[in-house]
Amino acid sequence: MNRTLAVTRLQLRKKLQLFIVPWLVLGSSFIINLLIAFISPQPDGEGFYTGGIASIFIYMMIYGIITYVQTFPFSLGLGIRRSDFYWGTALSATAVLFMSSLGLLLLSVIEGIWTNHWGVDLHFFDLPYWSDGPLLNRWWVPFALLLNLFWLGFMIGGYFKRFGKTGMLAATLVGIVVGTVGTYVITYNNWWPSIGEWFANRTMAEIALWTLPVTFVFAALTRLFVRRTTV
Amino acid sequence: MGPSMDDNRPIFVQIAERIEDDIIEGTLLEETQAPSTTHIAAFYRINPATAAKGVNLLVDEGILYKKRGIGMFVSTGARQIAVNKRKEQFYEQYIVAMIREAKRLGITVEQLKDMIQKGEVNP
Amino acid sequence: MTSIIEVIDLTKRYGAVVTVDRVSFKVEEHKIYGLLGRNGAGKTTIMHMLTAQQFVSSGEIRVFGEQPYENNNVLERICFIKESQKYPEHYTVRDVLDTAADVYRNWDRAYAMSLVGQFQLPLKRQIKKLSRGMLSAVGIIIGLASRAPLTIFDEPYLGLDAVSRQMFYDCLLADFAEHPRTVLLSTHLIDEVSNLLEHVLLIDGGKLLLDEEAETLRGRAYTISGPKAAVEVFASGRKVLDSQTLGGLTQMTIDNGPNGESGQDEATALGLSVAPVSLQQLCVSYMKRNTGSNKGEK
Repeated sequence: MNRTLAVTRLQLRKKLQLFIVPWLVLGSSFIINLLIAFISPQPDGEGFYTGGIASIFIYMMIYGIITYVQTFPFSLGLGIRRSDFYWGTALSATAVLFMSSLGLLLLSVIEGIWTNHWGVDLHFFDLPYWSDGPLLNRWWVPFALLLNLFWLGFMIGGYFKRFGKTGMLAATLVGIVVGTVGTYVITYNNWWPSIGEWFANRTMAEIALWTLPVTFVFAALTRLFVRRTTV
Repeated sequence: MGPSMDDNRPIFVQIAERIEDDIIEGTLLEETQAPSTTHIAAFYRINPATAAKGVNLLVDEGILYKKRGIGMFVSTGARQIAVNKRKEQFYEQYIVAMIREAKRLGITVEQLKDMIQKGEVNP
Repeated sequence: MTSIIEVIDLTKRYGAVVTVDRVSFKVEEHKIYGLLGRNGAGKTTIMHMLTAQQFVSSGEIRVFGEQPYENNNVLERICFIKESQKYPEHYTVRDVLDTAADVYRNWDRAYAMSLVGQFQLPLKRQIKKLSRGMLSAVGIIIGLASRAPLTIFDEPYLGLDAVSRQMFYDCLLADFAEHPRTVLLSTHLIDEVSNLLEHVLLIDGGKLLLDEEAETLRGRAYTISGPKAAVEVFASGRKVLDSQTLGGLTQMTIDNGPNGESGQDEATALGLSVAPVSLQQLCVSYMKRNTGSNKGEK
């Protein structure tokens, strides 16, 4: 068997963690919100909006970190090439995220179009701005964002494995400095309004498109990290 | 560890000796098949290459020979070869040592001869 | 004889600390090599470099004639079992074996399953819930069933009792006889494995102290004891590995050397007491000398 495929299979072996758990987490958030919406109906026309859907995105980011940290040493120990690990995992992640975003598409359609917001005016999967535009967006937007967050997590895992705890400390400090200085510069130059305006003028689908180059950078950096990581 | 090997000497030499012992005792008869290298290695829990080395030593001495496609066999006359070899070793191992120890204790050659005769009568 | 591994002046440095110091050796195919030495001597680092899991500071490595880094020609023919192997969370024994089946070309599933029975491994149990001994058994099974042309075991028996360890040695020998491969077995339990080995590589303090056929090492060294003067006279001109004195009695470990004449008989003739030295004792003596000379350097 081709070793890249061996890695893909390695990553997909634990169906529970990959498919069941994230949806359980999302599902429980959904159920809770559904109950609340049911118990305390909103004044007519206002609807009950919630950001509970974010949980699956956060899950995928954390999953990215954990996957790298746990499966890379295993893979390396089995004598699998670093590049086979990288591409094999990229393949498995893409498949999982593709399916997940299809799931989100389906749920948003059920919510918004078929069940009229579950009969209780709950907006969980079908949200304004988020679900705007053609139906394809309801797959595309989550897919792009899940990809982005997964690779962010995977990159963090890769960075940690490459540079260790000292590296993480260094990166955190640098992050704080850059964040502080950056925020100061932006505030000083009064750029916040223009930034806000830029975002407001974009559709969610466009923003999702803009995440692609960022995702690409994460993926490229991860590739660089993995090449020089040792046991 | 398998049936114990001496730390003192190479294992292959000891393997050869044990096969020789069997031949001398009559447990392993001439023109019968000797145990295979794999078998020896497994029994004594040693590396197969070491077992093979021991067997080859006996082949070199003419005690064993190879029958193509079947395995190692004990040569005709192998017992005699083995016994002769042991007789030489006997001299080195026992006689020389005995004489040395006897000298140390002040036992004369005559007294040694008496002792040997005594030993033969009352073992 | 083909050289499966060729290592030339291999060195590993962590900052100022040299953990592998200009080690050179060759490993020939279809033999069982013992990579012997203390914990921390550099054996594991060498094995990590052979499998490209760790990078070389200087020197050359060739495995199957090529560089191992990111090279499937090499890596697909190696199985490296180490006691510190990490497994993914929630993976069961079966999951690990299934992964190994995907990864190792020559994987023998029937053989793996029979070993699982022999070592009594619970297939459905999670790796993290296994005892140390069972965890080692997993590694051993993978190593054996992989039938990898180069199989490397790094102290694979942690937590295994003597009976299970013997089972491992027996399985290894049996499979090696039927399906020859090149085996590198790293251990500090020298006496246990000494009969299995065809060739010995002794590493201490990052240096290669011995690189010999096991059979030439057996019986090559011996201890003599007797009156101090007599022992010293005998020992002059010979290689002394170790020396101890108690009152008027001196004990020395003498090495005949690879082609040296056997001194044992002469010593006995002189009335000195002669005792055999096992492979382990020989290695220990060499290591002591090495530590002594290292201290001298500092």
